[in-house]
Amino acid sequence: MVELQNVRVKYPTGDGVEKISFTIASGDFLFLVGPSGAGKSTVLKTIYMDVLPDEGHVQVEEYNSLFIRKKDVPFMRRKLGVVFQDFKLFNDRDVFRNVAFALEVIGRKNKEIKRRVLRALADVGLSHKARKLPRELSGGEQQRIAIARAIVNEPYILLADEPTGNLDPLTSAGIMAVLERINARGTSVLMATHNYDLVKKYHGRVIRIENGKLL
Amino acid sequence: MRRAKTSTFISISTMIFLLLIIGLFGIISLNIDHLVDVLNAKVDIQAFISGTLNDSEIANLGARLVNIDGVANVQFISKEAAAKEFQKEFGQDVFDVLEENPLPSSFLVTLNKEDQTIADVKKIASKIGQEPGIDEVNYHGEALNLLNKFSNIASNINILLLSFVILGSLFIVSNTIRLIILARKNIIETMKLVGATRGFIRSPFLLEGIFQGTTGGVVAFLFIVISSKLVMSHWPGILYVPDYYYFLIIGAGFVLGLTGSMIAIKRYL
Repeated sequence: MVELQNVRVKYPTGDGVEKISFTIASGDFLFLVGPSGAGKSTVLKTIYMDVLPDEGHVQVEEYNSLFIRKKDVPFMRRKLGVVFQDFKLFNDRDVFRNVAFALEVIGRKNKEIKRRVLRALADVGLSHKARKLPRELSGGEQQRIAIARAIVNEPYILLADEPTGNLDPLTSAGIMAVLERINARGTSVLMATHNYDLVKKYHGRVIRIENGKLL
Repeated sequence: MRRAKTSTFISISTMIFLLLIIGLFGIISLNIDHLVDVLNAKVDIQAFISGTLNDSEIANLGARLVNIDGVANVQFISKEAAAKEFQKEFGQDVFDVLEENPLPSSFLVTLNKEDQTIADVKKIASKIGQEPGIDEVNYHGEALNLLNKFSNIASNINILLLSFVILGSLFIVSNTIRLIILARKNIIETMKLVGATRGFIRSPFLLEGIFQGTTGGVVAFLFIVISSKLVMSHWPGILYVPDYYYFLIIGAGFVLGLTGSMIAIKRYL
């Protein structure tokens, strides 16, 4: 379970979020919708504990932002997957190695890496592109690779920050289909987006955020 | 990344250069210290005996001198022996010029090695001088003083220079590591997101710093070993370099590389 309880984050610039409370249960699909600068990314950052709340707390499974030690943050992050608008793939290695990266850096064995990467690529429908470099793929395909990397460690929850922000409507629909498929298998999904029209087409709980506050 | 590679190359070259400076100044400083040690060890005190003393009084005096703290040995030099020494030194018999031997008999006092700082030599010499029956005491105090002063100045300059060189090399290594960290920013961010531990993320940068420092150390080591062995084979005995010293240069490279990368990691990672 992921739970935000009265979370407040204030940046030195004066921006930030406050009084953010919601819960994501196992298998939930949740949209966090709001205009740019509303605080969507900040909320996501508090969940993967890149930013710790100034007030309130965040609970991710057994980890609580109030008590988590710095050295435990990496282990907490292994319970979640994150994807961004700009994919963050590496062009110096092929698709397989990009996805495998997430397992290599946490010390998984080669045999297990191979099995899991092939499985994740199959989940996003790109098994046949395993040996391509990211730059040889379309934007939609690159985002699907980023999703494969985020789910390869079988996280409890997938956090997607504007995953369709750079994509046309048709490609976005493809990404949404992938996210729904992952969700259907039991992984919770929290998707931040500014695109309200897109959200209306899909099932899922919607939370709206504006000026750093939930509506 | 290319900038980082160029910077690595410059960093290693600079490390070599700086470690060479450290190494050479170290050798100079070692040799000055060694020279001071050797010369200090050679200092004897010559105590001239009053002409009025008879043989048994001289023997008593000699026995008293041996009992002074720090004195290792007392050797009696008779008037005749002094005349012979004079002839050896000046090529002329004193009796050719004078009818009697004007040279006083003396004691040649050698000191315990551990007592031979310049201050100790002075103290012992003054004790000897206070003994009744001793007319005058002679030792190379001024030369020793000068040498010790010179050695102190040299080691101060060395410390100053060493601090500059150490700061310089730390700056260069940490700056190079900073550039590498910047070049790999995306990978590092992703590593953090997928749950790589801090140690896992940091270790390549630590290794990079150690690599740069140690490579610099090994090259400087080779250069200094070869050049000092060459010098010593041409002019035996001119240089004093203990074997452990060479390995200190590699050690210095290792430590500087490690520290430089730790600084960069702390600040930028």
